[in-house]
Amino acid sequence: MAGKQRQKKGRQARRTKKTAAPSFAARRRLMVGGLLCAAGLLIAGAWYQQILRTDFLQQKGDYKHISYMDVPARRGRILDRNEEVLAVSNPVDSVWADPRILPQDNETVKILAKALNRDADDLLQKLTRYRNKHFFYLARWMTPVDARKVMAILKEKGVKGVGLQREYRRYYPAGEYFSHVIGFSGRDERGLEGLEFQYDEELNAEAGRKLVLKDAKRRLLANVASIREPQGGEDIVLSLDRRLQFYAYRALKKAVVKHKARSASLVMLDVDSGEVLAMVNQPSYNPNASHSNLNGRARNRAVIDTFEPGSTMKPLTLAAAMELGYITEHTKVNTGKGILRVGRNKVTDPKRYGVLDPAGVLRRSSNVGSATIALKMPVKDHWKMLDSYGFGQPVMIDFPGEASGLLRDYGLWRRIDQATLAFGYSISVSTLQLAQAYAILAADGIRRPLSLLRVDKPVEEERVLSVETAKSLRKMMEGVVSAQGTAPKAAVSGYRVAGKTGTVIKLGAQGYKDKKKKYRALFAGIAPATDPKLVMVIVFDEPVKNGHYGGTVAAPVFSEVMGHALRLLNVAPDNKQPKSELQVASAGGVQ
Amino acid sequence: MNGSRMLLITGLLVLIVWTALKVVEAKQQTRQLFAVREALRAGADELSVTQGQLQVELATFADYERIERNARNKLHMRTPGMEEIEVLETE
Repeated sequence: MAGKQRQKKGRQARRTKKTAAPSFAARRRLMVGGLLCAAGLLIAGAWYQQILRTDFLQQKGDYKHISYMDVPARRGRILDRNEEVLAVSNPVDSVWADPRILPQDNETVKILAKALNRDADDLLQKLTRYRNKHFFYLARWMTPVDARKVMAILKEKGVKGVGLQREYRRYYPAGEYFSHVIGFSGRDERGLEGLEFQYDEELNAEAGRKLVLKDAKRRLLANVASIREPQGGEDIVLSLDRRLQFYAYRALKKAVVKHKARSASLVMLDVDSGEVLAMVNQPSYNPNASHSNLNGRARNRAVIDTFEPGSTMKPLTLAAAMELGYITEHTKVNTGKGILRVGRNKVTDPKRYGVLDPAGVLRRSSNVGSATIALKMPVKDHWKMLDSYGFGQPVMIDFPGEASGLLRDYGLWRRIDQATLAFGYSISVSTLQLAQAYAILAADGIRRPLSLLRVDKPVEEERVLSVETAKSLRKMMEGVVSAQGTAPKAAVSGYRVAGKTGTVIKLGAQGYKDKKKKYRALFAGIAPATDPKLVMVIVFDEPVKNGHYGGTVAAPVFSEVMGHALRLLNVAPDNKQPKSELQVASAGGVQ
Repeated sequence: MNGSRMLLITGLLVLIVWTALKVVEAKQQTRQLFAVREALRAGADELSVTQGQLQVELATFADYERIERNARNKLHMRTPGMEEIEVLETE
């Protein structure tokens, strides 16, 4: 009631007293100013965002949708001469996790452990260890099929923060037969050993990179730009033959077990092309398994290790003397009582062989005979011949760590050095170098560069010996493989074989006179002797059981492997004479 | 504003709208084709996985140890002796 009365009074008062209406101009101006200011700020803000910061904001927007993507490329394969696969990179998937997103409760760990077929406690430990990281591998190198199964399980259970990453893994289907030559590559697909290392540049693949547009569900929408095209690696074709490699490996392994040798190497060459057809060593390893704790088993001994070649040197000494005209096939050498004095030293034979012709020197493997012949040569000429066989220099076969061996300068030779060189001491060679020298005898005196890669075009050749010298040496060396020689067990049924055994006393703490002598057993041979196609050198280090002579340890391996090889390569038999019992029994093929 | 000018502007407007629509269409096509390509790439990837597995499998089955064992035991093959081999001479 009181309010109404007051209103009434007010109206009456206004009517009666003409008071001026209050002016709000200032207030209005303030209002308009404020509004204009706000509008100006808005416009300025919009202008700043839209015009000045447009690039920045656009970028931010693109970040949500545009991202880099790697396009994997495959490392080149390694193939044998018949293009069978020896090393291949296959896609595998690695499962990764982002610990920031992946919940680390027991339930999730249990699901993960079950999906990955892993121990839960183990997994929990790993998760705890990587708790503060953004990325770690839960499992590496799963087959894509298995990896997909894991992801399906995780998706079903709603586990987040786990993804797949495509990688490549190197497989070596031929396993330990080829491990020394091919070597292996690491997890990053870069070669670490052997030819994988040597030809890494050619084999290596460069992953491509591109910018892609993705939608809100991270599905690929479009290719924005290619940053780098993926580049696959090149394939490499080796000169090695998988079949021969297998036979060589098996025979060598069997013999190493039988004779309890520390190690062994075998090299087989194609005479006409200089290609290496087989190269195996013992002990070996599986390149598909872990590469730790190899302890020298990864070493390609045939190329890297050097040794004194012993009696296998004799045919080469005789060839040099014959080439230089100091002996002929009919020269008589008197080995007397089997002792040759050279200054204060002496060279001895185990038995008295009396007067021998060069063929007899080889057949009996007379040290005195070969030393006598070597001493006829001037040191410089002798050295030159050994040098032209390729001793003392790397074979240049493009293998990491290749040894050059040791052939001392003739200026440093004492007379006893020249004498012992004649039967393969005072010099060190690798199995491969020895094979190279024998290949010269086999190729009628021509030296060809050796290769681990398949050779498709003619190679450069160098004549080292005359055809006559090479032929007559081969004929003499056939005597070694006869029943009267030191290696009847090297015979191959149906083929004529020329070769030479070697039984080398290893240098010990007391020189060559250690009480408990250690040996190296060798055989180097050529087949078929009339028209040589293959050369093979086999070296056993420290055979201790069932004999230690080249003729008993290495020769049977030669026979077995050479028999298989000649048949596989379709080489026509050049010997139709019936074999003796012994030779048939040791011929390859029959186990 | 005379009639011909009006016509020109209208025509240009129509053209603009038409090209804009075409741009949208082209973009859509690009994305569709890209999706197809990605699917094909995934297919190729799948095939390469299979190929790799087959290569490894082939190498395993072609192991000479296995071939020889089967030849001897299952097929009862053996290495012929020299007396069983006939060499044909070419003239």
